[in-house]
Amino acid sequence: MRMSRFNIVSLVFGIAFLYLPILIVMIYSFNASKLVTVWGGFSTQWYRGLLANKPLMDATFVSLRVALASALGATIIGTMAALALRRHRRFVGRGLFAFMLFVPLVLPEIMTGLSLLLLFVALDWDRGFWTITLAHMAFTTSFVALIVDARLADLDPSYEEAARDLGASPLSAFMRVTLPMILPAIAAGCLLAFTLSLDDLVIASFTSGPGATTLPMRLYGQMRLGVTPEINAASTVLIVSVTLIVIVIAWLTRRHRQA
Amino acid sequence: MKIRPVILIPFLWLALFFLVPLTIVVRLAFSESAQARPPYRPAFAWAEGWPVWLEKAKSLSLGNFEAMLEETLYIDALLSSAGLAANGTALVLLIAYPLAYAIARAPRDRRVLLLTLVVVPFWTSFLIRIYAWIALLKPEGLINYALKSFGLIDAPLPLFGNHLAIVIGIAYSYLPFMVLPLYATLEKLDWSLEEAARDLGATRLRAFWRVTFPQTLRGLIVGILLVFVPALGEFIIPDLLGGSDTLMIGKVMWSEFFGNRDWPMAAALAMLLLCLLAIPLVILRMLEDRRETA
Amino acid sequence: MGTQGVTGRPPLVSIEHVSQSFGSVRAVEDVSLTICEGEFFALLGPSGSGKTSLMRMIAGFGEPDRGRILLAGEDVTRVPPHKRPVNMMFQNYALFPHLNVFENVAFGLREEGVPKPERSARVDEALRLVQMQSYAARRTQALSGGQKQRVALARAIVKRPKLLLLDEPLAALDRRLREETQEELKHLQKSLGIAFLVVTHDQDEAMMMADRIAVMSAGRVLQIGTPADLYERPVSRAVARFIGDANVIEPEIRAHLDGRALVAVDGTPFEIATGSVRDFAIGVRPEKIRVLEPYVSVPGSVTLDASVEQRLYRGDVTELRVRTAHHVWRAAILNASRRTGFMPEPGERIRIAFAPDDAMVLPE
Repeated sequence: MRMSRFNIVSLVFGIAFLYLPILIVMIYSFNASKLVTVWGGFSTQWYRGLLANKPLMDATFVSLRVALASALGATIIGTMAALALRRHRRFVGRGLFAFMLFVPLVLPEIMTGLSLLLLFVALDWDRGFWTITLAHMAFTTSFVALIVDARLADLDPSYEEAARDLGASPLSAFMRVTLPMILPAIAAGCLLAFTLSLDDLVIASFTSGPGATTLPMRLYGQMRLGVTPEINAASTVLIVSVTLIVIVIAWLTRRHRQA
Repeated sequence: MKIRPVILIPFLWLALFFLVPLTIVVRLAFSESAQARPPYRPAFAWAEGWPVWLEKAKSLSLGNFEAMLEETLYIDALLSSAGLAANGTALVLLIAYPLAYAIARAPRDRRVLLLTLVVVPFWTSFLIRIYAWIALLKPEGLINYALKSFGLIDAPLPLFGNHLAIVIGIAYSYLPFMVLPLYATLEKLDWSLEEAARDLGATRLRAFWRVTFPQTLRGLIVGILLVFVPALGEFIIPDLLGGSDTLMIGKVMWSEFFGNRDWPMAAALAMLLLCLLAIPLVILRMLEDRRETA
Repeated sequence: MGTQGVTGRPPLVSIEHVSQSFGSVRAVEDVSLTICEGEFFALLGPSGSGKTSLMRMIAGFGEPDRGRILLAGEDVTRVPPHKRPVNMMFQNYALFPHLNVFENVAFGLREEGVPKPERSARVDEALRLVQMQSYAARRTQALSGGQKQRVALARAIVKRPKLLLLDEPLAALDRRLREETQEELKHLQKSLGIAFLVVTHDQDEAMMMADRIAVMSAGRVLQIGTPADLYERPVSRAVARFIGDANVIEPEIRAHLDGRALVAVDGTPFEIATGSVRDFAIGVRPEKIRVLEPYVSVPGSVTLDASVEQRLYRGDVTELRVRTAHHVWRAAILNASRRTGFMPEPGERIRIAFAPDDAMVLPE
């Protein structure tokens, strides 16, 4: 099919709109000049500066730990929730269950953050690393469930039936057939939870306490003061690592689609 | 019935981290602000039990909601949020529809790649994507710099710290949410219908408007809701791109909470926002139901 | 005949008054039938006739609301699928995409706890039976449709089930491969001695492969019998129409006498054997109708004046649509006899004739 000129213009404009701003940030992270609009030659000094910036490195470390812990937790609970929803068509409170699972997907972050903070205050828990981790688990669980649920929905039930027909007990059929087949989706969900956690500013701001500052919180504080090459460099590192994760996710989900 | 851990564990988890926090927000919304730690006097204490709660319910503190009606600040914030979200959605639509259309009409083997290209920026940090626009829009930013060096303008255009910047920010951040549902409906379209319309004498534009466009209304509505709903509660975009006078409900909530430490008022605003958000979500749900029965 | 099975063979599966509904939809209604050991049995019917539901109940997927299923004399109605000595070949083959060909075939043996050396010997043997031994290490996605079908077959027979269920086994293959595979399946079934139950919507497939066929429609069994039984002695209008082509005519029934009836079609009377049946239609296969030049008559045959409405060339036969006083008929003329025989043009006046014995009595 040949594309009309209008379609090509739309495509080019749309893609440029999406990518140019990010590309500019990435390019200017190699700018030797401190001024945003002046190109002072190529330099990697801001990247070296990042490593020396202790508060930033500390925040990165906190963010990574939070993201890792919350992604693992969210993956376990989210997978269970998707299985509960797909496999059990009838149980008491199924409607409520589905509601509680999928509403967080559309809830503004500011509401999720506020309500979770109030929970931690009511429970009188000290705020810090663990409250951020739990809060991130709470909102990323729904995303994991969404991805695993979608995979379960288009998983042909005849695979598990074939296993049962060949003598596998329900548990054995799940472990030997269903689980290996949905594993890519679970891994994709886990990585999504990881990137969402790494990216979150609002919920972390509500639920963090003294001594637990995440990378987005630290960056946000600096961004409010203006554009600096150092933030450009930090952003570039983040963009590149997230893009790599996305490629892995795409690869994981592509593989199961071919199956 | 047998209690299955695969149901019970996520159920309890969701109850603790979704339902309980939400009830606390509701409870707080009816409380009064106080100089204390935490800074409020609860309307309902857990220990009191149902009879006392019922008694209290009759004389609830509606102070927060009354204040909301009296203080024009809150109403203004709400209206201006809705206006900005609507403008942002309109801009998204303007860019997303031709884009989704072009992807759907691209050769089959290119479509997945193009779609991936649209979605990938959505994965990179939200914060960074907004930050990128600061560098572009500021008076001393790249756009003004470029325009000035080409001699098109003398003084920098006011692109930053105003509503325009917020609308651009919304359009940029939520573009994939509009492209994906639109593409999903466009991809399933039978293109021969448009050809049939042209065969019957319609111009290319008329054929699109009378045949293709009506068939994509469902995807359009889903896309509009997916952009409008989160944009309404947005905080980062107005905070970083908008001016200090920008009123958006998310920003007001944030400053009530962190600035004024008026937790009950923040909770009351949250409740109001939730009620407003419920409307489009119910519409979305009804659309989904109709599709399932269709 | 009927539900009693092939004489001389012990029954393997007995389905007794089985019904099943999904919500308000009655998928299977009061079905009883017997499948014998070593028999090739087909469930034939259009989609939605309940044949797949019935097969799935035999495999253990879905329980009947009423009735019971006996397997080798044992009531298996409530036995879960993994404990039944029955294996199934799924319509889409359901080959596990994360396992290779060998691992797919070995899956059931591993569940059974068969020790490794024996397992591998049996997998090799099963793959050899379906001529796929050189593909053992392949990934299943890389196989062609026909190869997938063979692997699925090997996976189902490697456990040596008493009964093999095949859900539309040939539906996903193209026409030529389908015909080849029909013969191979039939051959394999006879050499293994396992009873096969095939579900199909394709009457040619069922006629070609099965020893006996149960014709199903709307959840009920219309008739059970050998292919020849069904073709030559259908009990109902529906079976006559579904198996092959038939001119189904409502005759004027004038009198009954000693198991025979005097009927008339277009006013032409003749006598046919009806047994105790009093109300019926008659069915005449198109190839049993002779097409004659006008004014020719055949003694002992029912001869009717007709005119040709349409002539359709079909390769092996030419089909004529002809109209008599009150009915429209289809007649088939073998093209092999064309040079010698009579081949009228549309619009031409002709006569058609059939022997009263070729008029099948259709009580239902």
